[in-house]
Amino acid sequence: MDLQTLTYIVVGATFALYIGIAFWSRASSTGEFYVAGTGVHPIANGMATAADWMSAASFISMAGLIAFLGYDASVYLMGWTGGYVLLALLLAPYLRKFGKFTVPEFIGDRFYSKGARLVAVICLIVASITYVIGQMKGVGVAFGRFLEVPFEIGVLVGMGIVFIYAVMGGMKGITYTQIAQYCVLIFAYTVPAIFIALNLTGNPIPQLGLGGSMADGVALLDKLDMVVTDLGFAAYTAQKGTTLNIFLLTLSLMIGTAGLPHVIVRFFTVPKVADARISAGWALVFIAILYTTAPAVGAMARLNLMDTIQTGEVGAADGNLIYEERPEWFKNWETTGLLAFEDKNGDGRIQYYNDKNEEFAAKAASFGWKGNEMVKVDRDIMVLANPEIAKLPNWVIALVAAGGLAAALSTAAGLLLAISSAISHDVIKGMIAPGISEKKELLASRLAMAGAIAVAGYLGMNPPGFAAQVVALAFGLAASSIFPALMMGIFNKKMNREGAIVGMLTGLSTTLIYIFWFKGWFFFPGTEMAANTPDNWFMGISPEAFGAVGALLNFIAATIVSKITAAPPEHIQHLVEDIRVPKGAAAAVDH
Amino acid sequence: MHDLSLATEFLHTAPPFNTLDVDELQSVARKLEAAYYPQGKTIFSSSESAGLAVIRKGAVRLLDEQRRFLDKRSEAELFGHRIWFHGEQKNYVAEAEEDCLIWHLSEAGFNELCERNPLIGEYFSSHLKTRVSAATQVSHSVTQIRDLLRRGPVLIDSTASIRQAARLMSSENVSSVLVMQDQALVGIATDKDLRQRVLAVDLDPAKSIASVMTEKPMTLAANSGVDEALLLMMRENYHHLPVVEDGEPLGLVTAGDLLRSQSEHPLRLVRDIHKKQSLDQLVHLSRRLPSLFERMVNLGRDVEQIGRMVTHITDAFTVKLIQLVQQELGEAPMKFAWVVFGSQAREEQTARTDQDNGLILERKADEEEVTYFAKLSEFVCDGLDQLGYVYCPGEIMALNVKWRVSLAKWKRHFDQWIDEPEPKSVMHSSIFFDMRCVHGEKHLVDELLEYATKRAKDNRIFRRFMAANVLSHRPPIGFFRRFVQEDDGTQSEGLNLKHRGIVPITDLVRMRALESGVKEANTFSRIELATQAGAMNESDANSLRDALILINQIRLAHQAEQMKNGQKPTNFVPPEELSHLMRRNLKAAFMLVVEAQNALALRYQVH
Amino acid sequence: MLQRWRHGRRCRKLAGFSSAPELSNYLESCASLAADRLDNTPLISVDLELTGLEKEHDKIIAIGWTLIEDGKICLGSNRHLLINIDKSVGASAAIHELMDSEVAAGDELEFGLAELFRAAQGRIWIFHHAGLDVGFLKKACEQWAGVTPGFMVLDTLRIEYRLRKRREVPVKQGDLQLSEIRRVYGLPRYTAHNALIDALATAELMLAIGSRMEPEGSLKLAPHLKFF
Repeated sequence: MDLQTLTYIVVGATFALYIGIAFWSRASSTGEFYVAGTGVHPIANGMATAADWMSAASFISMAGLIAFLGYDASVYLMGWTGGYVLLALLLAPYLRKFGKFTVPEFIGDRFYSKGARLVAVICLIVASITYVIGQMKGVGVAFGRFLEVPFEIGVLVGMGIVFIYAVMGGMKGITYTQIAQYCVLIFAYTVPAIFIALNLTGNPIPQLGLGGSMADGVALLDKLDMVVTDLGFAAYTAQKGTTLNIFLLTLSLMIGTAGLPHVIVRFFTVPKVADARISAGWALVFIAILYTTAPAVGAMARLNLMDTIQTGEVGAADGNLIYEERPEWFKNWETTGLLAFEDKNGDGRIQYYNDKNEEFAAKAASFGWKGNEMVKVDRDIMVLANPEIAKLPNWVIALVAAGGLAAALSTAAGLLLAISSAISHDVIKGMIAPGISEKKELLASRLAMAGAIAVAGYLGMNPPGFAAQVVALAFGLAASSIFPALMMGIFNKKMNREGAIVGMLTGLSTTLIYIFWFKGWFFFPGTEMAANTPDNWFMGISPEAFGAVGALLNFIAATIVSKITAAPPEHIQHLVEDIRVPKGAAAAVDH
Repeated sequence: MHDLSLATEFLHTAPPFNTLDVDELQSVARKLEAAYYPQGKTIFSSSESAGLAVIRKGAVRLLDEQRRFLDKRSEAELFGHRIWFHGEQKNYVAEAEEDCLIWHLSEAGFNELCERNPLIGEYFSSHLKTRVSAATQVSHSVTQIRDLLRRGPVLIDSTASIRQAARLMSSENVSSVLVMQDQALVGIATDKDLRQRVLAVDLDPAKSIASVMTEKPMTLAANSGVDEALLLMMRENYHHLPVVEDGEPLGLVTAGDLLRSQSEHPLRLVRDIHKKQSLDQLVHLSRRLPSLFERMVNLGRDVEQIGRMVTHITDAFTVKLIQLVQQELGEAPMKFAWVVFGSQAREEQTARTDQDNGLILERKADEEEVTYFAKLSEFVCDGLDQLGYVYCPGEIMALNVKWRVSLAKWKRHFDQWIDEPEPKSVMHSSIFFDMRCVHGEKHLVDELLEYATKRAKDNRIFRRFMAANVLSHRPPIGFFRRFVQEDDGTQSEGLNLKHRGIVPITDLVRMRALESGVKEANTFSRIELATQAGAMNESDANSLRDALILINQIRLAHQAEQMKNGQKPTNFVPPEELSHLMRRNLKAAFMLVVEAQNALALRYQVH
Repeated sequence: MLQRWRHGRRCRKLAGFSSAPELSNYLESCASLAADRLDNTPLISVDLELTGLEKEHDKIIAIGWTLIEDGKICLGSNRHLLINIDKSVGASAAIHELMDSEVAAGDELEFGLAELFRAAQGRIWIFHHAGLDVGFLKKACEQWAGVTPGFMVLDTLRIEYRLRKRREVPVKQGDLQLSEIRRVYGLPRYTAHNALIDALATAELMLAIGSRMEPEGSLKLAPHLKFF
């Protein structure tokens, strides 16, 4: 059976599974009385949370990022994992005690201000849409490859499917669907990784394979370092950015995670706070399975790619792959436009090297190379192309496609629902037209959803970076605006409305401006104020990492403003105290 | 057979035409024109024409210019003439509430009728007093208490002596006087008071009447309806109530007056319940329930009214059982309240219903007190079961020791449900949020309700759990808007109108009530209050109310039919039994519910 | 369109041959009869009581009718005529509850027809199950005036049947009885069975059907007409 048919079958079968489970669980819940003691086991709930958490960025982009950025990309791993822990331990329990399940709602009530709520809503909408851009990009890559159409068409197809999926409710909240998605996703991710690890190192566990050695006795990472430096690329294991930048980027990712609505909600769907913590722990385990596999997948994919193109000695006349003999996967990805070759020296062979490295460029010229001929290698294709590069069976390749779509769709749908609900409920019903009918509210949410998809789709085609970096931007924005407001709302009872609003605006605007400065206003190419290079960055801080700085500015501005304006009302201060005191303590007294 | 006998026979049943002789009826009938109006169609606007309309079949609602509901008219009732609504004459629009067959009499015909028949003319005249007297003569069913007052109030100043009061009462030939102070009603003194508080204890009749009167008596507003007044009197067991308007007494109304005005009234049963002295007698009375229910449905009483009446009968049984058991057990050792939940609390009971109740105690009970309340609950719950209110399958009954606890414990129950919303407790709490005191200390219930409502209002995470629970009851509409019928594996049972129609609506409305902190339990009242509080859009409120009425009407009609055929009433209605139009209406009603559920899902992000 | 023109032409032609002036006038009026909407077209709803279903040897024993003006039934126009027949009503008495003695006290058929066609002048007919009644009327007219007049008819049974077929509602035996359809439309139940009550019942049903089919405006009659 050819790959395309097989992909259709596997993707179709997994979707049929999700929908089937959704129907089954919906149909079986209409009894008059619950059977006592029903509830979702924390392990199951942990899997569901993990499926929510892992998006196209985790599934598709992270390994690609690691493949090309090497060691530096570990910030994404650390940042997101750390952020998750922060959310589970520091934020969710308090929000829950406050009885609010969206961040804008908490901020609006805590700072007794519709204005503060509006700012929070806007921050979240911006952050969420940016996050959706990443998902659209991932969906576009997957569809482009498997429908064998250009990437842009793939994005359009993805937009349509995401809209339908989200309007159908995304099957969100149905725990067993989420579990199924997790299983598909993790299976799709680890199976190829195991095959490749076996091929390269003889060790079936990718995580161990990464640290192990290859058949010829050379350590895998050493081999990779050698291969890439031979072609003028920076060593795979080297640290490229400044330590400050890496630290801030990690921090931004961590605190930026805090406000993302689709994950927070998961903590409120279990009856007890304790259960929520246990499932958060399990979720961490399930997330770790993918996150720890990602570095191995990234490194091995890079090695395989290099080996495929650089078939022999660097500089030898027959050391490079002949274009006409390129493998099938190469041709397939060419049709998407995400992989492009240009025969600059006319020798019919592919030279893939770092022509930005002047030292190596001179050496390359002596080989008769006239520049890097792989004019486009989109990093997001790595995970999807990996099994093909490693010549794995077709069903593995099809499975990866299904996994990628599951990851992208579930996250995108969750976010789009949160966005549309924020716009229709918080903004339109809450502020603009309180008397609006439910029908119009629903219509508004659908329009908001369509609008968000259109924006995300457009920006997915004209991305300000690759998927994971786009997402990093979203986190940066959330980090600079929402996280400080949440922290101050929970832990500083003197923080008042004025402080919170000024703080949020300060954090958001400085971060946004910093990002636009280097990436173009609203990401329109050509509108950058300065080249996006480390020399131009403020103290060497990249736009992705600036969120942490924005958060700091937010804290400072909020504290100053709250000191010079009136303290919050008495009942709010009491409320803040109550949140931090266990409820049972007060209730036990009158026993 | 006479050419017009069909018309005259019917007219003869419709007041005030029943006072006319056959010749007069014929001359009226000759001028009638019959017209048919489908549901929802505007029949008439009083500003355009002043003819008379007789409802031959169907029901009509009268709306004011802002399309607010004024009154409803059903078969053999009239409209079209100038009508007084709550003491005010208004222009109104008549709209077919059901498909209607209306007989019209032109303005000229109507004027001629009034001229030729002074009594009829008087009946339709807008003057209050003549209307009342005409009403008694033609025994038209009156709607307002003011219409029942036969004489003005007999007033006496609070400084007057008991002797003066007694003389006034005998000279006016009344059994009670209203005691006034500074133009305000401060008390009521009755024959019984004079007997028990004066003669029996040898009180000096020169003392002030204020010393023996009943202070601050309960009053009725002049524009209250007869049903409302009856309910109040039955519930509180009063025989006389002063009627006031703007604080000024207009007269006195007695339970007899009220009952006489309504020759056949379900609340007579309530009165009978009060008179019975043993469980066996009550069981005997309860056999009247099915036929009573059937009659209420067939009389075309509206759904809200039926719910309230059936519930008040249940309440009366409950109270009577408590009184009976207390005669045996003696006074309760502490204050308590008998609280009911679910449909009884919402005053939305229908034919078949189970009991949901509990006891709220003032404080934690000691061993002896525990036994007292255990005995009390056992008697009442068992009694209710014998009366046909079967045990609650979820054991939400005072019989269950868990639901027979102190106010503080009840609050902790709510705390636990709200803080740790397990699926079972969410389901529980949806029943418990509909709460009403039936007997005992009302303030205990009020306090609990206040507490629970506030906690639910402040906690959106809990409400999200409730929303998820609400969304588990979906209307029986599948893909392509087709009906989904329940089946028990062997055969299709029809549409489950209760669980998939009425429950979703009451649930949706409860959500709205909790969002806006409304403490009322009745669904119609909740809709109104939530709309006032701005939590509900007016058109959404109307949609849900209409859907609830429609689904309930279909269900009630079906149940009445089943009872008539000697079957047990169920909530399953096979769609084939409905007319095409009804099916379409039902579908539309279900779609309204689906829409409201979708909006709820959006609001709480539950899918 | 074509049917109506043919009907008009036939009526005009027949008018000259009729020996009864009432029928001639009726036929004249038919020639220029306009059928617009239910609420502006004059109508006459008619029902006959018969001794049986065979027009060859069964007789008309009662005629009842009522008129509809401007979409309203004029109760004052109700007429019920008993027809004197020579023979016994026989077993049919079980249905119409008319006894030989009552029938004998009735009017002559000629008088009944004259009254009926005078009332029907300029009106479209309404029947429930028109075929039977029209058949009897045609035959009676032939004997009375020597012509078989044309009828422009709204048949409530046929209209309802076509309505249900269009909505794919299965139609069972007995579903299309007048009382059964009326029940579906929520119209009052008439216990007595007589020509006037049935005519009135049919008229009410016609109004009900019309307002259901056209809840906002008024039903256009042309598509529902049948010509005999």
